[in-house]
Amino acid sequence: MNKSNEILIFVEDLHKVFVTEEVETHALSSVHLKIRKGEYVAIAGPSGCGKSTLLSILGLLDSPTEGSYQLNDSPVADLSASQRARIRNREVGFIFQSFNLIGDLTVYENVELPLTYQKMPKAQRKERVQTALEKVSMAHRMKHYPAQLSGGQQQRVAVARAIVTEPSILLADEPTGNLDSANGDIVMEMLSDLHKSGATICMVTHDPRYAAHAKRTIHLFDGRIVEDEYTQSEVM
Amino acid sequence: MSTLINDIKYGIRQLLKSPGFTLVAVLTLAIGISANVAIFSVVNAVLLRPLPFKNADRLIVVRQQSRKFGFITGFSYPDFLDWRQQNPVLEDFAAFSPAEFEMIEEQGANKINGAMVSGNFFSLLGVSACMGRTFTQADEQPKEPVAVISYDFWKSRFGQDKEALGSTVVLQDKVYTIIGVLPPGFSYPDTIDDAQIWTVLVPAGEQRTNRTYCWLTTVGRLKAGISIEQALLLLGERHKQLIEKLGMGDSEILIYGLRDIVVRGVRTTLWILYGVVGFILLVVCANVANLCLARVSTRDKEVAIRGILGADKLRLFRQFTTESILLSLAGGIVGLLITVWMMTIFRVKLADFVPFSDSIRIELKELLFGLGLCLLVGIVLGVTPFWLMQRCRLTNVLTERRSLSIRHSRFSNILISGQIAIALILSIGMGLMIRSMLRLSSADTGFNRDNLLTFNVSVRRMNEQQRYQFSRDFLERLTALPYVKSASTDSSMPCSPRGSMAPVAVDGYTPPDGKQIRAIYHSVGTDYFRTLQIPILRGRNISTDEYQKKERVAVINETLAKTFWPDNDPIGRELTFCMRQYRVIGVAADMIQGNVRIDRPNHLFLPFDVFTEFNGPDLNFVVRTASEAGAVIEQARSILRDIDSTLPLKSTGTFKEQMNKRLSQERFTTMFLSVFASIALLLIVIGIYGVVSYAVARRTREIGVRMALGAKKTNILSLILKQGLILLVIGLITGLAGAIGLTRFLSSYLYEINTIDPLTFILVPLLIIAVSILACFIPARRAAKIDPMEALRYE
Ligand SMILES: Nc1ncnc2c1ncn2[C@@H]1O[C@H](COP(=O)(O)OP(=O)(O)OP(=O)(O)O)[C@@H](O)[C@H]1O
Ligand SMILES: [Mg+2]
Repeated sequence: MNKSNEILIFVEDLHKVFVTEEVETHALSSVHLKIRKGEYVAIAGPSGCGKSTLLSILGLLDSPTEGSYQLNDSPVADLSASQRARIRNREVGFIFQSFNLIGDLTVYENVELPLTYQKMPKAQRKERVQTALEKVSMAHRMKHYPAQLSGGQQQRVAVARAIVTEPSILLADEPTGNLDSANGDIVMEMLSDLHKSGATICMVTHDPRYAAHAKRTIHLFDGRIVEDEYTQSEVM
Repeated sequence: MSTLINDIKYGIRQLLKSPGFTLVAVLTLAIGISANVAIFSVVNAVLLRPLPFKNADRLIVVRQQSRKFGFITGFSYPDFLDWRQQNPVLEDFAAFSPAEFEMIEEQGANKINGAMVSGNFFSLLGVSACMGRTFTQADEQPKEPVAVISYDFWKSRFGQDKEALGSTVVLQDKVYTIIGVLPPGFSYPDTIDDAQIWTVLVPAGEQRTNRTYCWLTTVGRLKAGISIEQALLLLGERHKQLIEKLGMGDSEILIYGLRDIVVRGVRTTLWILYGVVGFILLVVCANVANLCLARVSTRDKEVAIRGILGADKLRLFRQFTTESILLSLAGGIVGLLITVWMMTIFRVKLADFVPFSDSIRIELKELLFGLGLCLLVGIVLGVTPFWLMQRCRLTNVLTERRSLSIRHSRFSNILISGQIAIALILSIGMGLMIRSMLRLSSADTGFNRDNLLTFNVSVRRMNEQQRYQFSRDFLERLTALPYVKSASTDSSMPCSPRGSMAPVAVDGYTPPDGKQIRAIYHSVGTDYFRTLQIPILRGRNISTDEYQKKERVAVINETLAKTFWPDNDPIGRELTFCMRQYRVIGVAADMIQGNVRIDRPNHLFLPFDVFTEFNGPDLNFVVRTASEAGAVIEQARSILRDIDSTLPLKSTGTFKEQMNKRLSQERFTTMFLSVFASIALLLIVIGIYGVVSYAVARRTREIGVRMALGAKKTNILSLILKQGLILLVIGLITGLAGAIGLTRFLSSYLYEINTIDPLTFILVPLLIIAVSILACFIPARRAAKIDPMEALRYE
């Protein structure tokens, strides 16, 4: 267990406003958030409260309208597009509700994809992909295409793809949303295992059952954090 | 029936729903269909449509070929009579010879193209006069001369006056009575296609009796059921017996179908044109198919749902094809306008080298061909997406596994690569032709061909002394004109395709292969070398003194000099030409005769009026002007009227015009290839752009995912470009292979350019690469600008 009190994510007074056809949507208003290394955070809240928006800002897919965000002690506001891409690639692992595997690529190639953006030598890539797939017990399906896998299997591959770069943080947006409960359980099990082996995880979920896996749950309502609840006082 | 109407209504609605797609597809199809219909109309007019003569498929042309020398001749008059009199395989046999009639009219003398034909010529062709009568065999008896005129001639000279019948024309000092007017549009395609006046062939003297004067062209009709091969066998045998009996000649018989002999010079060109438009149609179909596929895949869910709900396949198929046939018919209708426009261009541009070009028109057959093409294209376009859709499981479409789109995009890629290959083949063809034309136009002719004007004057009635005097007077007054630098005469102008050839000999020289040395002889006026700017390499020009004293002196060209005296100075040596001795006084630089493609021939230049044996009826004048001065010809005419108003002058244009006319087939092919290669290039740009754009749209989400995983803009850019590049490489390799295989069909047009010309084979693919990358780059940049947030939102 690699625990540390270092702050990984430090968000202060974050605002996100979407302007569409003269309608302003305040997706996030004045969000303050600290996430330490090794934490397992669930973000919960009703539909449209800004969970996904927060997650994509944390993952550098989007930028806030206002407020500051420091990842690993460095502010990300002024980074160029390619620097942001580099951080997304090395520091962040994404897991989506709808898996988002690339249909034209095999399981192996899908998992290898983030590594190819790092110009890592082939042999090393192979080793990493192998390890990642073994962690999610999908090594035997390496040559399959996503369309040949079940939803649960696809999500496991997506998890493998997210962890293959050994990111600082895993961001999962309703990873079980498209799965039945049995498959959902498997994926959640996997995330717990990853957390136990030291990964920092930030997961959006509706399901209180799954939120319970996390050690801390942040409740969002209408773009604001209304509750920050520690289910276990393990990390403080 | 009512479902069909419903389908059509539904189809029209679908097409109108996406006007951009419909417009591009219809225009693209219009280009492909119209080009094919236009070329079909040419091929139909030239190769397929029956000639407007009785039993035209049985009409043949007989020629003789010398076994020893290989040259091909016609028939002598006595031979012709023998053949006509009794013939086991021919129903009828006629002969004719082209003639240039000198006709005295009120405004002065003129030359009219005409023909002398045997009395049975018109009845053999089954052509009767539209007014009066044509000839009969009885007209061959020497009596009052009669003539038949063309409809156009009747219109232009007689204003369609009925009084023309029975009136007289003076041709070559002889009075002919007009007995008939031929039907409008009549022309006989072999040798005399521009004849305006026909007279009866009544040869006299040697021409009537000498079997070695093979000056007649023939036409015969095979008896029903006899093939050309059978005729050749029977007549060949008969001919052999005849020449053995007469103990003369070594010729054998050649028999051609009338159409074959007329079109043999253009067959290759027509096939090339057909190939080009066929290729264009393929490119067009591929392009539109791609557009249709992209459209269909946006509707794939709808179709899959219909399928799952139980719509039967036939119904779906009908829906697809109705829509695409509607599309191709619309293309055909727009195409018809383009065809009409193209054909007006073709009729003009093809007239120089394609027989029957004035009969190129749109008739029922062309319309049916176009309709058939539309239906075919429509069905192909409709079947493709239907077929692709049938091959994937409907459930897959609904569960978003997207195998349909992948299949689509694979098929699209094949189509694009194919288009690139074809565009490459066409562009390489264009490149080769353009390079060859450039070479041709800058080829060394041996003389300066700029600003040279030619014309001829008929001096048939003059004796040698008169000719000499006339040419001196005329040249003197010509050179005094302001824009004229110098002028001269030549019996065999170097711009005319065939010079007169005759054997030349030198004592003590035996030709290595036993064949006589032949040279093109020019009996030239003073100032000839200066006028044409042919350099004298050794010795000197023929002097005025020598002209006056009619000295037997000769200038030969370098090639001839090297043949006879490879190691010695030819100046002062003697050669024998037509049984007389001439002294060589100069060596001129080599020059071409008519055609730059033929190796430099031997030339022999003799002073005008010294060598008079083969003097023709005309004096050919050549004038070096200060610029392309067209007015000079009118001034020459007025000088001539001043000297003798009965002498007809026929302008033959400038040297360049004459030489260009001979290249009209190459020029047309070049233009045609260039136009369609450019269209193909444009289409591949549209095609690549469309396919790559569609791929970008289809992969938006994938691109979003990749960006989320850390792909930079450059990664995305190269991802999309790479897709394009793979298509490009496949297309280029296929295209290069195709080009290597196909350019040999151009070999007969190419001048000093190999069919696998390295420069063309490098530059053209580079051009295609540049154009394709450009077409990929725009959608690729759009892909790189995708906002990952937006892309991932499509859930
Ligand atoms: N690109 C955008 N343009 C305009 N409005 C947006 C955009 N993205 C999000 N929103 C709005 O911001 C608000 C928060 O959206 P968000 O996707 O974060 O909700 P969520 O909490 O993830 O909901 P769900 O649980 O349904 O996924 C919503 O009201 C949404 O309509
Ligand atoms: Mg969400």
